Order: sequence, then structure tokens, then C-alpha cells
Amino acid sequence: MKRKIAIGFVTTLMLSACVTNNIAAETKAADDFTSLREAYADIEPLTDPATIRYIGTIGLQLSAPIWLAYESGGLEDAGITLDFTPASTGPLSIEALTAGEVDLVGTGIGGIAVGTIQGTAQMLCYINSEASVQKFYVAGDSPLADAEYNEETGFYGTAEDWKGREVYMPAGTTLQYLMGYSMNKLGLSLQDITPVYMDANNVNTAMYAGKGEVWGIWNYLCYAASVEENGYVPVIEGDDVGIYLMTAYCTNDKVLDDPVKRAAIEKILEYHFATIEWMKESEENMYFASEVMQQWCEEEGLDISVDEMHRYMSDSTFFGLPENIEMWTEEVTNDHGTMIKALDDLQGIMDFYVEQGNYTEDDRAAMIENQNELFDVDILNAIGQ
Amino acid sequence: MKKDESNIKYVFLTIVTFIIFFLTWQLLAEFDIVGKYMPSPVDVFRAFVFKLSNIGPDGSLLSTNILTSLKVSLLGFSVAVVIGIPLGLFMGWYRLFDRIVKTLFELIRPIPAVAWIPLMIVWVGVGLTAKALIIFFAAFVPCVINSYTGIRQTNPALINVAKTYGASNFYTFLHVGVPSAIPMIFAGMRVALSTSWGTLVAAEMLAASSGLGYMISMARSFGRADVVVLGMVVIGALGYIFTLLFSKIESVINKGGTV
Repeated sequence: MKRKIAIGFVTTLMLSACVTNNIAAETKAADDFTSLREAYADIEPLTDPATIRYIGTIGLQLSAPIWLAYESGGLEDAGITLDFTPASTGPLSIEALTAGEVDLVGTGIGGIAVGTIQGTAQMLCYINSEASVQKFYVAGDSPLADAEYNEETGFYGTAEDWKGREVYMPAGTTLQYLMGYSMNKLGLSLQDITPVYMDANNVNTAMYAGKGEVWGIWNYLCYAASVEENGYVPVIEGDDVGIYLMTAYCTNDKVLDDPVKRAAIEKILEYHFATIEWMKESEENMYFASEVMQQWCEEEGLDISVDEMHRYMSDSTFFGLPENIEMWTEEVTNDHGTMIKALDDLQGIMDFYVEQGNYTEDDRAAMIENQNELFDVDILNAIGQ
Repeated sequence: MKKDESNIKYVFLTIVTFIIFFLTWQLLAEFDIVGKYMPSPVDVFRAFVFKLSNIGPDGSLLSTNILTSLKVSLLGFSVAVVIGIPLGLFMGWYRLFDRIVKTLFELIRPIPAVAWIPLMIVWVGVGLTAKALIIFFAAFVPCVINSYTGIRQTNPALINVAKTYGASNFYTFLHVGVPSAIPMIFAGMRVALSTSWGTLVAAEMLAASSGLGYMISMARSFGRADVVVLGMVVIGALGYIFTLLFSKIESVINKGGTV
């Protein structure tokens, strides 16, 4: 009897797996990438096909262009096999790049800082600014929810409103930087609040469990319908406060020295910029892009609806090729010397890191000294031609 | 004399082993044989000296991190010992109690400590209690299993002698079973202690602003492999020190030998 039950159970499992796969195949076949593939019409395929090992975070805005190029079959048409490895954070991705396990990284500012300071990563281009998707929330009945909006600082509350508040956020991240930057605007520092450092997903859990007073969350977590439904109110938003939080593609010198891989990286960037232009063309395109990203999240077990993903994807500044060429070539002079604009955009967060003791002024100086090696403009120029 | 010679040989061999290990490590790091990211023993020592008086990259001195971790780890470990050992002993001795508790214990046993984090946040919040509970779930299991196994291995002849002299079941449990289980109990506590240290990184993911696990996580985020390895070495060294202490305590308590 027990044997019959066991056989029945295993058979049911196997059948359900087959059914699930078929449903998934049907859904994929129904996706129509015609419009996106038209955007790639002018891109020539590679002479020598190549496999590029890419590492990035699932479902993030910065992963959208490359994922769309991959899912649409565009990269395959170009002769590129993309070997995708998911990563949870930028610094981990840079670790993999340093170890030679991957060829191309999509990372936020944490990974950019590690890579440029160590000198192990070459910056290829900026993908987008993720300042708009860094937010701090409070419960609807919190005193901060009723606080006045300060036009000068760009967020809610005065110094008195914020002193001593228990703030949950991940340490050493853009959210901690946003909080430090915002408190500085009030003449306060992180020591004037009560920071509780934890992983971003744990902050999200704590928020819904009602533990703590102020919660820093990011990316698609900010756009979940449950945030509004549960009455949580944003009191600090990165865009309003005026911070720069770039995301970038990075590679290493070994990849750039390999002519086949270098050509493939260049081709990927061509697809990347074409995808961005296509997304920006119309609301319909952006919505389709959101559907593809939502499908990806669903396959990977991340719970987000198409509308939530659309709101998240729409709330970002993607950088096109002309903007990148400008950032990689225009020089500016600041307190730390003369540098390209792309590096100047990192100095705000470097100030924060140095103040917190995460990095030193020597680290910053090394970054500035080696900027020509760290920020590769040749590939951008080649695409521009 | 022979014992002294043997001890000297043992110490000498241990020192030589360490020297060979560190030399090999230094060479592997020096020539990038294991990759660019691997710090050498010299780098780790420099990081140790740096962390004695500098708070970067994680925001706390090494001493602060050690004290924080000791608090979390020892609290979780202590609770695991206080609850786990009696539970294991009762389960091993009283069949009915074993039948009632065993299924639940076997369900909880394989759950990794990290998996408890979201529930801890909801139930207990993010303070010291929550972190200590993560450690507890990891350390509790070896305490129960070893106590259970230890008391089950009590020599039946001794139980029979006690019964012959009119001892009650509880008296036999307390004066025959428990002493008999002491070597296994201490073995379980040693395993529990090393598990507590091993779970530190997971526990400090819950919420931390200092601690060795936190120091390792933060160092990783800022590309400081030397500080990561320093954290690992310190955790290992502290674990070894506690193991030595345990052995001393065990030899005092168990000086009569196995029953």
C-alpha cells in the first residue's frame, strides 16, 4: 500500500513538472519581441561568435537592457552566448570579476567603488541612476508622516523631528549614504539618529512586521502595492535630495585584451544602448519591457506584478550613448583635482565612505590617479562611430 | 622523562606544522597562485594591527567586534545548553517523553539558522535576543543529540544495581544516567560551541552594527579581503581557546573517568 502511494506521489510530481514546463513554454512563445528586434536591425553580427559570462542582480533596472537584448534573441543573432550568473550585491560581482570567473558585471555604486579603488575593474559606461529608487518610509501614524516638507533639504521633517529616530537600513550601502547625506542637510549626522543595520530584505520584513520607526528600502521593494496598502509613507527619496547613484557595466583588462571578447563586449553595449533608446521611445515599449522583467522575476521566485515593475522601471534615468561619451570625456575640477565627469559623479559617495572610515583619502587619490585606466572610453567611441 | 620528551616533540611538531602552513600560504598569495583576491598572512597580520586602533572599514575596533560577538554567541550557546541538555537527557531516559517530543525535534533539526531570520524579526525584533536565538537554534541540536545518545549508552548493569538497591527511576536517572552521559554531553557542548561561532555571520546578518560576523560582511562589501580573513582567523582562534577551556573544565568534572 505504502509503495503504491509513493509511486503515485512521484508520478504526480513528474506530471506536474511537465505541465508547468509546457505552460512556461507557451507563455514565452506568446511574447512578441518584433518591435524591439526592429531596434536592433542596424546592428551587425560579430565575425567571431563569443560567450560572455555576465553577472548581475535579477530584476533590477540596471539589468533590464541586457536582459531584454538576451530574451529577445538579439544577442544570439549577434553571435553572443550570454552566460548569466545572478548576484546579490555589486561588491560580490566585482569579486567574481577579479577572480576571473566572469567577463562583464552590472553593478551599483558599491561595486563601482570596490572595483575602481582596487583597480581590478574597468568602467565601460553608466547604465542608469538609481537615486530615485532609494527611499525611507514611516508608518502612517508616525510623527514624521505629519512633518512638513522642507523645500531646502528636499525631504520631510526638521532636525528635531529626526533626532533619535530608529532607522533600519543596510550598512555600507546607498541607503546609508542617502540617510547620512540627508541628515547632513539638517546639520546632523548618523550619530544623531539610531541606526539599525540589516540586510535590505530583512528591513522589508521588519517594516511589515511593524518593528522599528523608519525603514530604508530600495528598487522594486519600494513599488510593491502593499507599501501603500499598509499605509507606509515615503519621507526621504533619493532623487529629491539630490544624490548621484550611478550603476555601470565593468569588465577587466584580461577581457579587453582578448580581441574576440572585446568585440563581443562592444556588441553587447551596442544592443544595450539600442534597447535603452527603444524603451524611452514610448510608454508601450516601457510597459512591454516591464512585462519581460516581471516574467523574469516570476521565474526566479520574486513576487512582483507587471504594474509594480512598470512603476519601478519608469522611475529611473537611463543614460544613452551621447550622455555616456560626455561623462567619459568632459573634464571637471573639484576639491580633489581634475577628473572626468564620470569620476566626479562618484565623489559625493566617496566623501561619505571616507567619513565613515570605509575607505581612505589614499583610496580616493588612487582612483583619481588611475582614472584613465579605470574609465575606458575607447569602446564608447567605437560604438559612437 | 619519557612523557616530557613526548610533550616537547608534540609542541615542536605543532610549531613546525604552523610554520609550513604559513609559509605555504604566503607563497600562494605572493605569486597569485590562488587568485588576486587572496591576502597573505602578512596582509592579515597588518590588518590585525590596523583593526586594534582603527574603526574602518566596518565602524568598530577589533576589540569591540570581539566583545559583541562573544555576547551574542555565548548567550545563544548558554540558552542552548540550559535547554538542550536537560531535554536530551529526558528524551533519552523517558520513552514516553521521547515519543512526544522527538517528531517535533526532528522537524526543527534540519532547518538552517539563516532560515529563522525572517521569523525572528517578526516574533522578537532585531535586538540581542533575536540574534542569540539564531545561535540557539544552531547550538541546541548537538546539545540534545549528544545528551540523548550519552544517557542511552548508560551501562545497563549499573541501572540494574541501582534498581536492586531500591532506587527510583528518577534517582537512577540523576545519579547513574546523568553522570554516565557527561563525556558525551561535553562532546556535544564542544560541537555546539563551534556551531555557535560558525553561525555568527548569519546571526549578525539579522541586524548588527558591530561583531566579527558584521566585520566580515562589511569588509567583503568594501573589498577588504585581509579583514575578511582576519575575522575568520579571530573566530577560529577564539573557538580554539574556548575548546581548551572546555577540556580543562571537563577534566575536572569528569576526573573519575567514564562510568
